[in-house]
Amino acid sequence: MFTDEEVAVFMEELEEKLQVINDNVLVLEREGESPAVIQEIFRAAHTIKGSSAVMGYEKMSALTHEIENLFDRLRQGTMQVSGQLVDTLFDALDTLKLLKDEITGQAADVDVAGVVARIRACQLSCDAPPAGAAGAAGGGASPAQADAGGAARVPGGDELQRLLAAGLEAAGHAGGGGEGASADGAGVRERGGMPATAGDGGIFTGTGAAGMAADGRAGLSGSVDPVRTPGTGPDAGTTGASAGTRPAGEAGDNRVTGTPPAAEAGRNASAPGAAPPYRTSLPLEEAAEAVVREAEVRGYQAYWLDIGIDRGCQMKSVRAFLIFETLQQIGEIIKSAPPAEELQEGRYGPGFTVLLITKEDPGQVHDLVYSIAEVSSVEVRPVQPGAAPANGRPAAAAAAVGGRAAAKTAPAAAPAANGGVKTVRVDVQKLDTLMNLVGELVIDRTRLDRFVDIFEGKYGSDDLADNIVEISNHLGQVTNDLQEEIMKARMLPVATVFNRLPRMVRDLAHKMGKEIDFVIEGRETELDRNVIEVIGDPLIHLLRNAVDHGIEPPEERLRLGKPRAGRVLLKAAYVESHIVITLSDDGKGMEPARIRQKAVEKGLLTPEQAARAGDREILDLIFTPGFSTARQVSDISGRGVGMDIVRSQIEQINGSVEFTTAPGKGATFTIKLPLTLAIIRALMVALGEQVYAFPLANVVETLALKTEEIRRVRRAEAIVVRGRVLPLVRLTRLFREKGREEGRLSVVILGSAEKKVGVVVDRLIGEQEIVIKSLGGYLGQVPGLSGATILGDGRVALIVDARGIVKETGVEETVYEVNRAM
Amino acid sequence: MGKKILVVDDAAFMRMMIKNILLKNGYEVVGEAENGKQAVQMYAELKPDLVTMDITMPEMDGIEGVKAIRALDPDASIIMCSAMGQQAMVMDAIQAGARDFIVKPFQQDRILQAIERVLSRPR
Repeated sequence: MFTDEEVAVFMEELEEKLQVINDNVLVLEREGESPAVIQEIFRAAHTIKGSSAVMGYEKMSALTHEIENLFDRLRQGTMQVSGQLVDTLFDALDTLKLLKDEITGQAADVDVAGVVARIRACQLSCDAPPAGAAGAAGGGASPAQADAGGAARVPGGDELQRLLAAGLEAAGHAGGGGEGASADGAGVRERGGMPATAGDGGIFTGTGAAGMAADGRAGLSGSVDPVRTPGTGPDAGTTGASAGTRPAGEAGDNRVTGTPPAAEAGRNASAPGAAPPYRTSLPLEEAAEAVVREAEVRGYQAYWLDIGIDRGCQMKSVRAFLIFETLQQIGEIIKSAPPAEELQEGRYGPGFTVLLITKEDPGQVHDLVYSIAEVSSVEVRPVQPGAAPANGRPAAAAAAVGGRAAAKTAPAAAPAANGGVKTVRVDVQKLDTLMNLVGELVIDRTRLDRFVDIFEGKYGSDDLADNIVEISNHLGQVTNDLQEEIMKARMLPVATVFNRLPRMVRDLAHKMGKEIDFVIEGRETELDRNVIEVIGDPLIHLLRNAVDHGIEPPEERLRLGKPRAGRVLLKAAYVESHIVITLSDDGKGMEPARIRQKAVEKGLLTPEQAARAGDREILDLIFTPGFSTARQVSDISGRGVGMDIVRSQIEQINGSVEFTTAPGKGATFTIKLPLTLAIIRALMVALGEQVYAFPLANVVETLALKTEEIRRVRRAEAIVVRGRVLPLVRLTRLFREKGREEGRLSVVILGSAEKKVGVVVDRLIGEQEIVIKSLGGYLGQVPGLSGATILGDGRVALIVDARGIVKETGVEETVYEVNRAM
Repeated sequence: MGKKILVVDDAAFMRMMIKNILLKNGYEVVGEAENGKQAVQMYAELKPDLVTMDITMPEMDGIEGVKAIRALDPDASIIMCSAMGQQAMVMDAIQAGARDFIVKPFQQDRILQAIERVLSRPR
């Protein structure tokens, strides 16, 4: 039923809007309500509601409908944000995420009834005016409130029960105010600034009054003006709206006293008892007859229009309103059956009848009505009134039409700041392909350069040669730009990861009974998509550590003379060709003494080693597998699988992690990441004819070495660098290549985590940027290699899997290892 | 050549749904706008035969959008795409000059009927 693309766009947009809600609810909690924030959430919920309804996800659209209603009320100022409300919103958000998982099959049978009930309960208990007043204001609200009543019994609360009871009772008294008023009301509230239930009253109070005038004899006496029911509708609506800005109770009174008499008057005047059946000519009472006669004299014709409406019509009230408005463009509606106010409340069956005076011929009238959607049939019947024209004022049709539009009050939808960036969604794979193609282009361009050199050498600097040089230069420039642009297209702001964090920190803080002031800076900093995907986990881990172990409980902080709330700062920034993410807290920091003690307890160090090691070396022990200093293992962090995994995850993407700490002052972790994984800086080396590339991130230093400096430790080769012993690996042996084994050797020292290893190569070529290409499916994983790249001259250079080599053959360079080896 | 239609909705998903329905039925979607402001600009540029207009949008909502477009072109044909519960706003839009409305979630034949009929309307 839906195409893959449609589903994909739906899911992406859903994700996006959930994030918007999440972010704004956090702002709501932190900074209190502001129109912009409430508007943002309202709109996001509204969008999800619409889209999920189209997709047929009823639970999702029902829940977002509730959220939308809630925020509509906040927007109107008829209720306030409370702690309970924020918690309920987070519940709702979690449920929405579950519903999203349900779509993808990651969850099943998600229940929304509970959270819907809580949202409704919130609306009732957070009411600015007492719930009873709102209930009394419009009987139409009763279905919604009755539901809430049933569901709210679960959470309980005496006060709530009492309010509910009051509301239901009041609703019962008001009774029969129209169908689906909770839905109808939502719309009305938009413009007038009044609560839903009173809103209905507001607009129909006006209409009701007009209806009375239309059908009652007393109000008419020859004047056509009040007869234009829909024409007066808007004006009355505006009046209703302004009434609505008064407290809800008052607006309610307005309706209760206004409407019933009006409706009664209408019925008494036209057709006593039930509303006349559809498609029946009404008896023309004197006043209406007078109007028709008068109109005829002025060249108008009167018609009965029998208009049938589709069964599936969704907004019957608006449909009737539209038909009235449309007919008003060619004439005047004198009366209708059922009466206008009932039509505008949507209270009619398969159709209705109106009496229209117009100068158009019946065919045109028919075509006009039939140009309105959901009109299933139209029948136009001329009216033949009695002969003698009555005296009275002329019908000022045109003037009335003109004066109407101006009276409307614009809905005050203050547009919240929303960056108008135009975007297209592109499959990442397409970008990868593009990147590859540009890579090829770069290679060809380099080859062209060489060709140009040859050409120049052969023909000297004649016109042809100059042209080729120029073309080659321009091509080079364009290729570079192209490469850069595609790189940029692969970048995403770190916000995509950072935005998930505030909620997590909030929940953690709640759970741990801590107060956290979480600040994020540099959200807009952009990173390659692949890097973004990996960085989330380590960040979450570090953040958990900071909240769980770093920040002290509020009381302790006060005792220490720190502010109650701990400050956690997450910041991203460009530093040269890297991104640096720092996470700092002002918590208790790390004490080398405790780590030292722990390391000995865990058997990681002997007491002597521990005593000899410097503080820095001791601190770095936190990156050792299985190390955790938390006195109590909580379910948040401190399972001892922490920092070593954080580090290896970051190194997987060619990044590095370091930290500084001061006891009692806090800790700062610094993560350095490459901007992209597609292009790396590499040290190029030669081994015989073959060129190899070492990722620069893993290159610690390079050395020149004489063969006699190589030592033997058991059966392996090793070198001593500044007093430390490092194993030595010969690339020739690793890849079974022929190379020099004698004389001065070049050694590249590789490092990853705490391990280091020396690698012997023939010759160092230099540093350069390379575009990483995979070895392709048919080669698959080759031990010792992580990929390949194509050099300017078209040759292939192989990229050495530096981390793999270090992991297998390297030794840990921490003190105790050195000590052991000595 | 199919009639030219401008689709206005802040939700990409909605735009795509409407667009796909229109394309399948021989209409030409000449543009897509994310808010009323964009819609007005695009209307002036593209002169579409008809506009489908969402109501709740950032920057400029659908009702203001209708007003602005009708100010540019008093004969503009605009169909509102409303959600349940937006009765009063649809009424506002109709008074501002919208020709018809559909209610989301809409069925294909409803939107097609509304468009066909509005385009057939005698001027």
